[in-house]
Amino acid sequence: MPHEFTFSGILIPGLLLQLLLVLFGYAGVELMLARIGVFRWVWHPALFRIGLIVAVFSLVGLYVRF
Amino acid sequence: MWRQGLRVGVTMVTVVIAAVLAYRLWNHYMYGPWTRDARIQADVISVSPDVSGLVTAVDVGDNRLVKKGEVLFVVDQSRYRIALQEALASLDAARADYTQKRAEARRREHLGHHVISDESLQAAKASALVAQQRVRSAEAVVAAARLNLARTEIQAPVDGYVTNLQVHVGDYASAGKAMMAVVDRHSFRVEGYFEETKIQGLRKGDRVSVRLMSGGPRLEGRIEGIARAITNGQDRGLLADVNPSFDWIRLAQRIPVRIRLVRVPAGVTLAAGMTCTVSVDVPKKGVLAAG
Amino acid sequence: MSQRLPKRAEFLQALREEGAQTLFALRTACAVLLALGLAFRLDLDRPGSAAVTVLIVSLSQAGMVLEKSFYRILGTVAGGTAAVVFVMLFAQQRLLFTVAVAVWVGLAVVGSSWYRSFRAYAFILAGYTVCLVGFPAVETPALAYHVAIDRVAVVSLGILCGGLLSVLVFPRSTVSSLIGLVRGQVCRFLTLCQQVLTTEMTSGALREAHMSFAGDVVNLELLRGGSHFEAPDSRLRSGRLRRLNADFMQAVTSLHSYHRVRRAMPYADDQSLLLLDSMAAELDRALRTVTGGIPASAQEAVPVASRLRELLSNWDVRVEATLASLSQTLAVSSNEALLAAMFQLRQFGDEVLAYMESYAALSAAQDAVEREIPPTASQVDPLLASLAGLRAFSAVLAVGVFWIASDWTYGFYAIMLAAVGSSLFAASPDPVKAAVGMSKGFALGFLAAVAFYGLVLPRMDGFLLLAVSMLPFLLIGTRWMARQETAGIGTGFGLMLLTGQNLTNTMTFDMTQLFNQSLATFIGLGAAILAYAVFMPPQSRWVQRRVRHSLIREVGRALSDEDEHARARFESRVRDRLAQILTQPMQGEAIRNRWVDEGLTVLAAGLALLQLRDENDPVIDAGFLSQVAAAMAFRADFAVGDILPAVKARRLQLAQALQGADVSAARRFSALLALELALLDWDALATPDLTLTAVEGAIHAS
Repeated sequence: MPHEFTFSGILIPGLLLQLLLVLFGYAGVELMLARIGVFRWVWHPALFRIGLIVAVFSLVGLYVRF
Repeated sequence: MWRQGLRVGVTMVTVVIAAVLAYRLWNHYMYGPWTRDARIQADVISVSPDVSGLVTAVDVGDNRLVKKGEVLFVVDQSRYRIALQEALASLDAARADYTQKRAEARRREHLGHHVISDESLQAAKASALVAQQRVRSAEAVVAAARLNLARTEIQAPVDGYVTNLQVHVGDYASAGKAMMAVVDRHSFRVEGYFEETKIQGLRKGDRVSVRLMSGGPRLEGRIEGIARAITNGQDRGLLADVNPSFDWIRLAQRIPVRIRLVRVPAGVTLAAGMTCTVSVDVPKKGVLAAG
Repeated sequence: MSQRLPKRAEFLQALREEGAQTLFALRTACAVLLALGLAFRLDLDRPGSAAVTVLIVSLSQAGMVLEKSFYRILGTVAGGTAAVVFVMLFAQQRLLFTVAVAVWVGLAVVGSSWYRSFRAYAFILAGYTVCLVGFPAVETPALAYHVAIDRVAVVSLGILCGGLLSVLVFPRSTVSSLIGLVRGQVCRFLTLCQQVLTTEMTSGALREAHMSFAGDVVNLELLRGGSHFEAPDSRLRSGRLRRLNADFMQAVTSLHSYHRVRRAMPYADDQSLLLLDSMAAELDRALRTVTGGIPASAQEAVPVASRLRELLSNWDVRVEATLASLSQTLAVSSNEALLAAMFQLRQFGDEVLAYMESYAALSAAQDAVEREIPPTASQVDPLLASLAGLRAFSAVLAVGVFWIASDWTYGFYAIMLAAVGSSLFAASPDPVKAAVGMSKGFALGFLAAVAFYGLVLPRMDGFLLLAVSMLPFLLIGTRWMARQETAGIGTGFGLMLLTGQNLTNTMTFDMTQLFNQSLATFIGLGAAILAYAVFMPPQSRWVQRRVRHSLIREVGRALSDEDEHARARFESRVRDRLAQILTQPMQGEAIRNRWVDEGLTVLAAGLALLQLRDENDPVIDAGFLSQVAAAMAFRADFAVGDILPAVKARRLQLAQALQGADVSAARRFSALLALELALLDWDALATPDLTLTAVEGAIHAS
């Protein structure tokens, strides 16, 4: 269930927080993937990246509960 | 060649997975039976004195829990005591008058027809009856005076919390003017404003869980009823006012749904007006089959 | 048949270009509509701003879009925060509020002048977001926070839509542009090397080449920044690219230095000339692939670099041997000149080797542990930057005072536009031209907006119809945006079209609002343009003189820079300033050429001075070197100087000691000769009647 956080009186929807978390986490994953050389096996890197981010974000949004 | 195929494949598989998950997330957020626009509500009874007068005592503080019947504050009683005494005096006088009139009537009855005229006898009986009714009237005045006196002590109408206390010793309390409010502690419920797209997923009696904005453990509740009307925005009295205003994209309106709180965990403080998030617990498939 | 072929290729090329531009126009228009629809759906207050954001961040390359977007959101958040604070502090006092906003905008413009890359854009945004959020909120201060949040949301939505579409739909990748640029640069540079090393080349042709390289250096940095946003894995190559750029600059300078020395010895006897040219040709051959072509990729550069390294490893031995054998037969003066030229050649060889190695290293998957190159810092004149800030400040303040005095409801809109205008134009090299272009777009956009708002929009019902009817109007603007020359007009057109509609989900039609807003737009823009035309225009004589002085002062600055990267830093600083100058509008080819010559001379002199400093010669001590630098700075205004004879005297003194094959003395001599030649050029530039040919002869006549 979605949930809001209060940050010094400002309501932050949980989904936004999750999105930020995913994006930050992804930055690390990206570097790792690049080092492994995953992108050689990818046809449209931008599409792949966005797909990956959307997938992880959706998973977090659907199943991660705070 | 196969390499290129693999590259396209890897990309497309990722995209398809992402699309499916994103679709589910979208459904969850757009059509899932939950709303973050819900409010705690409770019955708030505004307490006003039945009798006017100076306030002589306030027995409760603001936000205090009171039991039904507990005295909240007292209006100056002396005036009402005096009124009672006066009424009692009137009653005594009426009784005395009645005793005398009744004796007189009885006496005349025993005298016989030749001693006293029929008219005189009838007059005596009637005045006895009038005196009797005066006594009853005086008794009613006494009862009213007693009631007024009793009503100088304003009591809690329900079990609940005193709120918005605006009465102090020395204030003049006018009959009928609200001086404080008592929130019925048994009446706490949730009003959830669900988007109209989600209403079809809700049934009376559905279990819901409620989370307060402040966090803490969940509250449990059940749907008690769904409002059957909201305003149109274009209704002006009985005639519709249909101006050519329109939206580029139609947005869902919200419909109030009343939720009875079944379980409130200990230690959770509720206040009417609190914001909360409500979501309907989707029953497990097995439960559904059993039911 | 064979004659028609190039025509056909040309036609195809034009068609491809046309296709790419049309694609860009369509993609941008679609992104605008997508952002608009989503903003409606999310019930944001100003859906139009989301659409405008898409329009503004739309650039042809995906990485650039992302980079600009990133800085746009950064600036928006900063500006929004500042706006809330200002409203909190000054809401009751309009004048105070306006002054505060004007100061803020001025500071933002100073900041944006500091960074000329997209980073500047964050400052611009921080500047005018304050107006965007603050002025609507000043009437109802309680709303300030809401307005700020809405603005951030709307901008985020816009960049999300713009970014997604530019990355996903037929993207024009920054990474591939970067690869293309690097390959093109290598190709053009090696072609230039061939011309310089094996044929006679006029200084005019060399200057042309330099001018194209000056743009390359800046573009490479720009693309490098953009590619990080497009493909984070390109960060793995970042360090090598920076090194490549630094090595490139140094190689170009020393190639030029060699050319100078070679050009100064046409009267040397044939034997020494032949010898020199044969060595140059040998170097040139080493720069090619086995088949004699130019390495087309980093992979092909690997063997080239190793062959070059091999050639240079026994270069000194060969030079010494040759000198020893020749010293008997040659005249003293041509011996010296030959020696100097050989060392210049050697210097160039070292640097081109470093360049080829950096290029070859790009073929590896990720950065190895390597020498770090300091990032190229943009060179900014603090005074000129503050002047730009002052200009923006006064434009905003003037319109603000007008707003307060006239009590015009739409006055704040004019302030906003004054802020937008004066900060946007400050970042462009020719502010007045940019402003006029944008105003043209605004004027055309105004007409389109009136037509659309009055005739088309009221007939539309539902978002789909809105989108369909708006598309052709949008396409006009985005098609203009796709072309470099008309980009300003297109942006202005699109902005006016979108803001003029005042789109909200529940539509209200109010033609007076459109007219008021447009009038305010023109007043605000007019104020910004006026501030630029009146307030120390960048082309003024005073400003130009300042720029020249700052260019020369780099020599002295490099001398006091004790770091091992002094050379690289010097190169990047001078080239940065030069690129700045070259992007400015100039009256005539002659002035432009003069600027380039000055820049190149400064580079050559700086290179020679730094070499001499590192040699630690007892005669040519640090005091003398800084004296030379000071004399150059002095000669920015006066051609007369007494340093030239002093340099010459020391060169002759060194020549005395040159007998015998002392390599380090020869190196010093070579550097000193290069310095002298640079100073002669410098003198010639300062006194225009002294022609270059006179200089060419001068060295030998001594």
